[in-house]
Amino acid sequence: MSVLRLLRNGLRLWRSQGTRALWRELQRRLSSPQTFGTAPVPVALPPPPPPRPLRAVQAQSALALLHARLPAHGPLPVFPIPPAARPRISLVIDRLSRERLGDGGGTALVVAHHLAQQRGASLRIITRSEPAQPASVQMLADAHGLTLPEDLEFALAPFGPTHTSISVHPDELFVTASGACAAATLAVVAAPRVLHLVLDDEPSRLPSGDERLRCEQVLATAGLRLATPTLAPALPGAKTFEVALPDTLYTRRAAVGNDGRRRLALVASPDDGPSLFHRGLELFERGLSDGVIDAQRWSLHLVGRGLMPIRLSDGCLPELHEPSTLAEWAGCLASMHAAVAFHQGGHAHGALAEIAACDIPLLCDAGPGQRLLAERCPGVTPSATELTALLDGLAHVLGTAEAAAPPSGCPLAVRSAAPQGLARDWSSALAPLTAGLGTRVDAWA
Amino acid sequence: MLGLESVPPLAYSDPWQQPLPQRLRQLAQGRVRVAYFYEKPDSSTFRYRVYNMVQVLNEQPHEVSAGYFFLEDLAQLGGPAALAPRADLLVICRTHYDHRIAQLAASFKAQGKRVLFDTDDLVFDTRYAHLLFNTLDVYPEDPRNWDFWFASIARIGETLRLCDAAITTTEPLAERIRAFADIPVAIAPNFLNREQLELSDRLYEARRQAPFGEDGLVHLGYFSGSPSHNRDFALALPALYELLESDPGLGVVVVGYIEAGPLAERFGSRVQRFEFQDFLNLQRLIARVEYNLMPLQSNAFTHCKSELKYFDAAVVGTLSIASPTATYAPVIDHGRTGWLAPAHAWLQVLRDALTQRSRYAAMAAAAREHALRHYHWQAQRPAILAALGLAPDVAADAA
Repeated sequence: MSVLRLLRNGLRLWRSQGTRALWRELQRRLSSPQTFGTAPVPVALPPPPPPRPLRAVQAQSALALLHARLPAHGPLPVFPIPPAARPRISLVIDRLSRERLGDGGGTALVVAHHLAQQRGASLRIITRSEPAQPASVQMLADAHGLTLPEDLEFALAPFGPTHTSISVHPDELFVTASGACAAATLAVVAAPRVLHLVLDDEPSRLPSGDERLRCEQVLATAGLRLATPTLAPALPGAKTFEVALPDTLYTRRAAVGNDGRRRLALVASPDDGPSLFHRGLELFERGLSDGVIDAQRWSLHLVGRGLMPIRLSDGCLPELHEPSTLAEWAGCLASMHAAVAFHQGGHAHGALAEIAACDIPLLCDAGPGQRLLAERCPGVTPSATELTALLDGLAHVLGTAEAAAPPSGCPLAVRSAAPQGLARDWSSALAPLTAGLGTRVDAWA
Repeated sequence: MLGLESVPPLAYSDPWQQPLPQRLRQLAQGRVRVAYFYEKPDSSTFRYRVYNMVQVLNEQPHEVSAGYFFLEDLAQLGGPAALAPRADLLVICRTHYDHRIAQLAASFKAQGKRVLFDTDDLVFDTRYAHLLFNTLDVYPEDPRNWDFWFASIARIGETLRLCDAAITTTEPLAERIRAFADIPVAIAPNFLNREQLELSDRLYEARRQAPFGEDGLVHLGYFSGSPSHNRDFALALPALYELLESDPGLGVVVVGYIEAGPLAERFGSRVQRFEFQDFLNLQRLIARVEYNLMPLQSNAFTHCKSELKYFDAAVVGTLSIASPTATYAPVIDHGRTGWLAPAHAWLQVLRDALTQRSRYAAMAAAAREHALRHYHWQAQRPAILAALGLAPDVAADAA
């Protein structure tokens, strides 16, 4: 508004309403952001800044990201060669080293070895993350009573970009022992030629996400042959097989210690989720505090991997055991009078079955495999995993153990009769699986 | 290592360096004249498959005589077709096909003369090219490597296809040739030639006088004739580490293309490395170690390899520990003339071998006797004649 117009408006106001009105109007206008006597003039705001573009230099290759996130799922690096005079079966497994006992490697080796023998095929062990340790392979074979073939081959098929490839005959059959190994094999080998051993509760033990998704998809692959131990949750379409527990390894040898106490073990590992290590610790704590465990009669032991010294609330220090070989592991279990072990996924063919095979009273959770184990082995007590239920179960197990143990002070080793419901010999244990897989040289039935 | 000062290192020169006229005169001696052809002389395939064969045949040249010829000779001869009038039979050994080879073979066939192919490796069938690549640890990222190997194998295969029959070293390799070319194949094994044996006899006698572990160490030797052996050596490496760690009285000798690398860094002077040797001084080095290691990957290519590493060592009295390949397993009598170590059992077998020193001399004598009986050059004539199709009373896949 022009100054002249302002003055005219002011003069008009003074003539009509007097000096005071003019003074009030002046004060009002001076305190207002509005232009005197006019409607507010819209202020043109500066244009918004353009959206800041993502810096191209930080963009990452999607493929590289996938490879980095799921390296084990990348395809086996393979090349074709003509058929050999003798067919070959290849076991694809993450690793076979003495530091990785208990991950199903031994069972997978035995199954693959048995299948190769039955079919007159040669056997090759393909590892992914590191070369197989020959000494470990021999140790596993010795422990399971296997005679390894002289022409046993080893091959390393590393993850990711590699200069190393592995040969594949057109009629070669494969056995895989993990979801990742199965995925890697299926990427380059037709599904009917792959037998996947579901030895663990993959995918449920995997955290939700891409890895679990891929594992689920592997298990659903059309044409893929599946096999799972009988002491495991049923898997639709899967053949089952018994896991043998040779009595040369799994026979109770428990002796009352020099202090007259029996041995109670928690068989679990802090980093092995399904083993419910921390629930087991809680059980020991409550067991001691509630008097279910009498520390005067029972020494406590932790058997597993990655263990750390633990002090229970009454000052009890469980003895730690981290056996490094299968024989040491079995021997350690066999030295116990009672045990607590869980497998949240319902697979009871690992440590739980090993304990039961030693005829050691066992408290475990109540998954499908565990209930089947209990049907076969009277010393097994499945329980709900609430502490109250577990305490009741523990009391029962300890009572059973005390009733079965030799008189106090007797230092002699006790060898018990093996439970009748568990397989002891691999040949008979695997015969149904072998028969069920047919005789085609270029595919599993 | 054993000193063997009584048999000093040799001033070596290739014994096959003979001028062309001399070789032509040798060829002309016999009633039946066998021309061997190889691209250019070397100390490996040429020595075993050509030089040694010709040496045996020319020991009695009146019936059957032989000569060896190279690409560089063809121009002097007057072209590839100029050899055919001078010979009755042609053996082309592991040669790459080209226009000259085509003409060489055609000239013999035009005169009704047989053309045979000889090879000592699975290097003629491109279906195994990738396997070779992998086995020899060739760098796959460079396309020139692929070009080279596929071309080389295909060209050798093409030469094989020109031939009427083949001669080779082992039955597994013979099966591959039959499957590839569908021609008769005969076996003429590798063997020890005169020069090698004369030196080996002296080395054996010197060794018998030398105490075990003369320099305070018992040596395990690995002798590599080509850069491909890294992966083979890797089979025994974990066992070597463990043994060297636990026994300060052990040493390792590596000879040739293999790198001692981390092993040498870890164990210092207990690991010795020698450069690639000529075939005679190599015998001397083999004789200086107590044990000869022969680890071999297990695949179609390696199962075709011959037993030469075994007899090279056995003839000087050095016992071998070998992978039980299709060739080594029938040749080595485990516990009597050497040891066989499956891939998963190198440590155990090496330990067993090292604890059996009291039996070493007897075993070494048995191994040498076996090597001389089967691989002495004087014992090869019947098999070579049969393989050439010149002895109809000896069983062979005759044409």
